[in-house]
Amino acid sequence: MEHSPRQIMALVRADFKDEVLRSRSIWLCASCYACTVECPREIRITDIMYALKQRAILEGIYPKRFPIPILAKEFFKMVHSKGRITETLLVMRLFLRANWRAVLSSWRQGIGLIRTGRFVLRHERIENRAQLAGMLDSDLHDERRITPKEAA
Amino acid sequence: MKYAYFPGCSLKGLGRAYEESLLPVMEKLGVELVELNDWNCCGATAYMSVDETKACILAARNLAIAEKTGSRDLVTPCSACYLVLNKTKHYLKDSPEIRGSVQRALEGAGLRYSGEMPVRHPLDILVHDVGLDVIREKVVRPLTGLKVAPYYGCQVVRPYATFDDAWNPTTMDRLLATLGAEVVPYPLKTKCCGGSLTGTLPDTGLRLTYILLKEAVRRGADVIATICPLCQFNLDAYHDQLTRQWGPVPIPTVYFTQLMGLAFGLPESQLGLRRNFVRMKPLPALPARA
Amino acid sequence: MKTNLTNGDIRIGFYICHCGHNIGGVVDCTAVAHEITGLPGVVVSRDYKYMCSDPGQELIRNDIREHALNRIVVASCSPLLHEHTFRNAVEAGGLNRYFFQMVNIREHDSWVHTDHAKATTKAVALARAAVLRVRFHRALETTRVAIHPDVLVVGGGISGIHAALTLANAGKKVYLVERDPSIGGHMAKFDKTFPTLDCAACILTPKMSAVRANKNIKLWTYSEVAKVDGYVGNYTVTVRRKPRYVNEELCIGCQECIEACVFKEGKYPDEFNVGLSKRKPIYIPFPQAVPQVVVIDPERCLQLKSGRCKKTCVEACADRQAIDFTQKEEMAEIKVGNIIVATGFKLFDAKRIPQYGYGLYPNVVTSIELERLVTSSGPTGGEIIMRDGRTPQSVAFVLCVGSRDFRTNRWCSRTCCMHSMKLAQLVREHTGADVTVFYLDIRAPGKGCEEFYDKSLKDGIQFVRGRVAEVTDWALTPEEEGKLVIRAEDTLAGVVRRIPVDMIVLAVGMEPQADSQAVRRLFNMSCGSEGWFLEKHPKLAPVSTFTDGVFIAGCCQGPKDIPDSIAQAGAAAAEAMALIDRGYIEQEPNTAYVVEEDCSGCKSCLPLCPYTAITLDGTTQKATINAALCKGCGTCVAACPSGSIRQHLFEDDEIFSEIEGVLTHA
Ligand SMILES: Cc1cc2nc3c(=O)[nH]c(=O)nc-3n(C[C@H](O)[C@H](O)[C@H](O)COP(=O)(O)OP(=O)(O)OC[C@H]3O[C@@H](n4cnc5c(N)ncnc54)[C@H](O)[C@@H]3O)c2cc1C
Ligand code: SF4
Repeated sequence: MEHSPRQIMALVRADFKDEVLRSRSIWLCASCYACTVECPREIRITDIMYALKQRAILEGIYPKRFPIPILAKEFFKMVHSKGRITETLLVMRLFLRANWRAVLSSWRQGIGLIRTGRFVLRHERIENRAQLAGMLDSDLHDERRITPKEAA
Repeated sequence: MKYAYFPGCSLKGLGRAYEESLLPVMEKLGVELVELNDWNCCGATAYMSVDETKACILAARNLAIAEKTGSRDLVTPCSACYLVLNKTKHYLKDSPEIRGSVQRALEGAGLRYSGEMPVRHPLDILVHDVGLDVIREKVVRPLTGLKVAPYYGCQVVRPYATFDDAWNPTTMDRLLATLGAEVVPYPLKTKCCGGSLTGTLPDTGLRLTYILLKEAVRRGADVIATICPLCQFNLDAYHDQLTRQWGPVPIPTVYFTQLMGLAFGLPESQLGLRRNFVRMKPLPALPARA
Repeated sequence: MKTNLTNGDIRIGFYICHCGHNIGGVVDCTAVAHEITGLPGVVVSRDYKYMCSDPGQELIRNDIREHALNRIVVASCSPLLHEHTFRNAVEAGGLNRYFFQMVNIREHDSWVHTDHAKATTKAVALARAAVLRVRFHRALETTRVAIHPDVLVVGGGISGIHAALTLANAGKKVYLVERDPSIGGHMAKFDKTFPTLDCAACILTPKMSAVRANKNIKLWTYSEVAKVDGYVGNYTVTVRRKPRYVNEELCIGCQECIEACVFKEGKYPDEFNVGLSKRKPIYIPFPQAVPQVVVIDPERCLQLKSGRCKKTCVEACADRQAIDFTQKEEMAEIKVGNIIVATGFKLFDAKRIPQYGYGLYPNVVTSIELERLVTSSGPTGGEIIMRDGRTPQSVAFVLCVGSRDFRTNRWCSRTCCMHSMKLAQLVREHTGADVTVFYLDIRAPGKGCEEFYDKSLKDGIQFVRGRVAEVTDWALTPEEEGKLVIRAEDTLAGVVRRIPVDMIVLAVGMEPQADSQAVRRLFNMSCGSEGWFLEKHPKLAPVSTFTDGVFIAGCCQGPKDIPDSIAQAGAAAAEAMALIDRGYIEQEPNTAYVVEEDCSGCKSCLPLCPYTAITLDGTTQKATINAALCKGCGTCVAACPSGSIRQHLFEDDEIFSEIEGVLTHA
């Protein structure tokens, strides 16, 4: 962790925008909400972390080749086009974009998934994809919003 | 008892053993789970990282579909889905701005959502609606002698926990005890498993996973019971890497519904137990009856 | 409305106060004064910067003389603050003090509005109402009521003890009522006291003995106040005296009965040692207890529970016959003029923060438990040992447990930084262990306290600035194996640290007593939102309450250390003495009275009066009101079917003209 959550809050307050948005720390938040329920000042830290991630993606200044924002965007795209996530395919895409060597190092895990019948190769998808896409794009008038294309 | 049911993507993929065991167990107890028609991904944590409003629209589509079924409650077994659906409910209630965008999106698609329908976890249904007494009656093969570490993870108990305590939840403990299992004190029961970090930043993520496994072993557990597909995957699928880095921590992690199935005498083959990397050992022999 | 000018020509003086910027910053005072000039009877209308100042009051006095004024209206702050001041000025000017009316345009207007024009309009309306009303004011006289010279002190902690002694030494008679079997409060449990590290017992025990010896103090331990009636100067208090099953007059504290009890060993958690040791059903709270009288716990005593015991205690007491199983709860009624409430605090329950592992890990203790462990009269004879008997090699203190936290208590408990450093020094002195203190901020503002912090740093105590996240028993490294591990962000170093230790001390904060709401109602006091008893003014009246004759002292008013508790106790005693020595209180004449010829004797008012001030005159069969008991609440005035009850200062013509004034648009 480059910055602890407390340091992130202090940097935000002191308006060190670049430092915050470039920090890997915000991407390390796994959304376990421990800090949110723990904070003696009742700061909703997890939600703030989300807001910062959104901002970093919007402004395109998240740490490069860092797998977490890449995963988030791949996830975003897959949901947009298919309506559902196929985890194995998502992870493959992540590895290809972020660190193809990881594919090699986790081959045993892949084989294990095949053996246990958990490796899904066919895309899960919903029927009414047009409806969903329409809904997700319904708020495009807001110029702050991003389309999946920009996110790509 | 009839509930609308939102399985979520994991239960159709890496976490299919969860659904495979949940459905027959619920059936055995007379609980009908009606899968939502054409549900979509809840958005999980990743979607929220990109766009808050869209994340809420995504989740709200499911909530609207669920309300259309006329059921009283929506049940979802995956922790991430549970959190996201509940969080969306809260956001829609608290933020007029988000509510506006979401309502526009729903209307455009001919959907409606009132915001009333409770989103609940199977654990909640089992302990509070079905009741431990009914469950106890269905136990034909008590898990006597099996030492279980109850592991809740984060997102079911935090921050929207309504049916259990955020720091020391006990519903699963009580449920497992009802099955006859010996519940091992496991203070790490609500610690994070690493979430998606195990995949994206293995060094950080796996360390959390390792501590959970190691402590379960140290406290004498035979098996870890979990309520979340991602927790199950993290605790089960990385033993190779963990052993290489810190040494072996050979303990299986199964869904609590799988343990219920075993106790209810359902055939092992139907409970998805063969999908584990670290397989569960046969149940300890029952003590001879006096 | 017909004007009833009983006092001849009405000549009104009107004054509006700027109160610096408080009123003047929002209300256009000059415009208000100008507006009022035109009203009937107004002879003088002025605005002035500070009406309460000497020159302000002088203005009123001079105008009365120069312009032959006979009514005065001041528009300024709350009557609570300065009605008295202005009435005095009116009196000094030669008028009856009730030919005066005050208008609150600060709390009711300038402080609560932002629109200047509308606030000014409102000020005019309120002022006009007062000007119309004051025309009907009549000359009234205050009455004097004598003050009973005895004082009740509730709570026998250091605050209550000091207040009682101060009063008794001045010759006043004091009842000291304490809930526990002995006085002493929390301080009796401590080993040493910060910042001087003098022995707590050495400074407290003499004061406790002095209470016992002082003939002016009636000490009632194991007792509680059940009921309070009356008003300042004349309270009637009912005290519930719980049976201790031992005759206080006969017991000499030899404690042979305890020795002789059929229980050979202590069996029940000892309250004084916060559960760290066991006591018998018959016990004395601690060696220096005052009074030196044993007590029998009815929940535990075999004889009292089942009636079947050999009663070896009675045998041991022999001829003295102090043990009395037939004792019953008694109610005692006393009369006092003033009451000092000094009921102290309770400690935060550490189990409410499960992450700190209290109740889960045996070697996580609270600071009060450690106080008992370091005391030579404590359960271990002053040895700091862990539950398994080992001496700790490393000890960590976790500060702000339950304090300064929005989810539990928001306030700072004020003494825990200091008493943690005190205990940290004692731990080092007794065991040589490594000591680490985890703090958010060190709060050491008292005299000698920052120096005490310096000394702690020089003594080799480690300070880590960071709120402890959790206490766990799982190890990542071999050094952590078998230890408790504290995880906290070291906010100065900027890293998250794991620190393995043997023993953890939780500095639990102070909370209002569990029954503070009931006690508050009993004595007609207020509580702040947190539950501490509310003082009348945070700066100017820190030990007074909104009920005259009821004072507060010590930690029941908020967390504080012993010096501050003592200071408050002394102040409360002085406030009580000021009233006693004056001998009387002035009663406002705003009482209700019966117009006899109109009263039909229907008696409907009798049960309505909350102060039982109304009686039916046996001969005339008409209601009469005892002015000394009437508080002027107006209930009977509103209820009387024949309209025969009226109230001074709230006469119909006064109220109607006031309404008219508010409703008239200029
Ligand atoms: C662990 C610890 C260490 C401390 N160390 C120091 C120190 O070294 N130096 C220092 O200056 N300060 C210290 N303090 C602070 C100190 O304890 C307080 O300042 C002091 O005790 C306040 O005294 P008190 O009389 O107001 O309250 P208390 O000591 O709480 O006494 C209140 C008394 O009122 C009685 N009572 C309560 N309710 C009723 C009722 N309804 N009817 C009748 N009686 C009632 C109680 O039984 C008790 O006897 C320490 C505090 C703690 C927690
Ligand atoms: S005195 Fe110190 S430890 Fe106690 S609450 Fe205040 S800051 Fe925290």
